[in-house]
This record gives sequence, structure tokens and C-alpha cells, in this order.
Amino acid sequence: MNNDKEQWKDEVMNSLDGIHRAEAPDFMFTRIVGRLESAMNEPVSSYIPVKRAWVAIACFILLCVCDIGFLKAINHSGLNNTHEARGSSPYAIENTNFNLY
Amino acid sequence: MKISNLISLIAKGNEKAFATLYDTYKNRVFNTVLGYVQNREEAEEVAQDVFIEVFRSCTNFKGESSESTWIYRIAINKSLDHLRHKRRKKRFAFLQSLFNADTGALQHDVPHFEHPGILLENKDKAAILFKAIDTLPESQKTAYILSFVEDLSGKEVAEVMNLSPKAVESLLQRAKAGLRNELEKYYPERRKLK
Repeated sequence: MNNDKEQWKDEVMNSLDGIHRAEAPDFMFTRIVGRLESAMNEPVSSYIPVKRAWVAIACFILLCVCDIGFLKAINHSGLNNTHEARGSSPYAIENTNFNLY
Repeated sequence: MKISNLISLIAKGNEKAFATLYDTYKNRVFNTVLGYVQNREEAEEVAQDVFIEVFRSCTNFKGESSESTWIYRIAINKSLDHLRHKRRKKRFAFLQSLFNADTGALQHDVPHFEHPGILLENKDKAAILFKAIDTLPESQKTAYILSFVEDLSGKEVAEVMNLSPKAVESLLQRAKAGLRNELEKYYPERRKLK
């Protein structure tokens, strides 16, 4: 079974033996020259595809939403921490014992 | 006429020189590109891009490497760019298919590819090998295609990839190991081939 598999792999790996170069399609040169000529005659434009513009806008909005959400989360947890520090922390009470008069 | 002379003539806009250069390299470029993109129509488009790039950047050719190395590098870069672009499109198609209940299926799946230069008795096995080649990392893929599809020598491959022959040899070893590993997936298909 294993030998069979290895032999099959060898056959597949050797399947490129004797390969010939693929030939370029006819009239490719004519098409290249055509493309070169049309590129030379075309005015240079700064056109941005509509799809790309929408993706950029969507990414920007998503980034803003994430930022706002993140800032809100930080503010909320920050406030909670200060409440804790003022009120219920055992260290706050104990510190009064070390006040200097 | 020497190729280096041709390039300086092309840089001056000589169309005949460009035609001669095209005739010299058209099959090498097309065959290399076809090894990467594995689709005849797409390979033609990429090969056209390669020659357009050659025409445009002739003025920048400094002769630091041989002309064939330079043209091969352009062909490889264009092919890899094309594959990256295709992969991006595939990812986008996946996202679209999540929202499009009509199709459900993924677009741009890798189709069955038959290289036109393969011997008839090897066609089916080579098609499986090309599927496996498509999964290799870029540098291993380049070393493998240049060595076994384009049939360049180790020295030539090293020159094109700007690596030492030893580094190319190591890339080929890893590529072969990777391919054998990938072929495990296709082993059950062997019965269909017999």
C-alpha cells in the first residue's frame, strides 16, 4: 500500500519529463503593439475605481466606530477604577494610619 | 544582431528591434508565465504585460545582468503580481458568496490545467502536479517552474533568482518535499486515472 503510494508520487513527480515549451499564441505581437499604441494615445488620468473608493470609505467608518467604542470602553473602566480607589479599597483606609501631623 | 543592441534600439523606439526581441523570447516568456498562472488566456494577457513592460523599461536596462535574466525577472514578477491579484479577488469573492445566497459556490476556483507541452501519457498526472505546484510558496514555486517547466540549468535559475546555486538547490529540495506532501491529498484520485 505504502509502496504503491510512493510509486504513484514518483510517477506524478516525473510527469514533467520530456516537457516541451508551450508556444506563444499567434497574433500576440499585434495585440501588444495595439495596447502600446492605445496607451500612448490615452490621456493620463487619475481615475479611482468606484468600488475601491467605497471600500476605503467603509474602512474609514469602521475604524472610527472601533476607535469610539474603544475610547468609551477605556473611559468606562477608568471611571470604575477611580470609584473603587476612592471607596472600597482597603489600602485607602489603612493609609490614614500613616498620616503625619 | 546582439540582444543588447536590440535593447538600446528599442529604447530609441525602434519597432523592428522590438519585434526581433519578441520573436526571440515569446515562447520562453509565455511558457514561464503559463507555469505560474496555469490558464492559457490569462497567460497570454500576462505575457503581453511582460513585453509592454520590457518596451517601457528598456531605457532603464543597465546591463548588470544578462537580457534573458532581466526578461525572466519581469515575467516572474508579473506572474506573481497576477497570482496575488487573483488571490485577493478570490478572498473578495468568498466574502461576496457569504452574502449571495444564489450562488453559494466560490468563484475563481483553480480549474484543471493541462500544459500543452506535456507528453500525452503524462497529461493527467501532470495536471495533478500543477495543482500541487500552485500551493508552493513563491520562491519554491519559482525555482521549481524555472527548473522543471522552463528547463533552465541550476546556474541560470540562480542568476534569475539572484541566489547562489546552493540556495536554489535547497529551495528545490524543499519544493519537492512540499509537493510530495501535497500529493498525499490527491492519492485517492489515482484510481480515476487508471
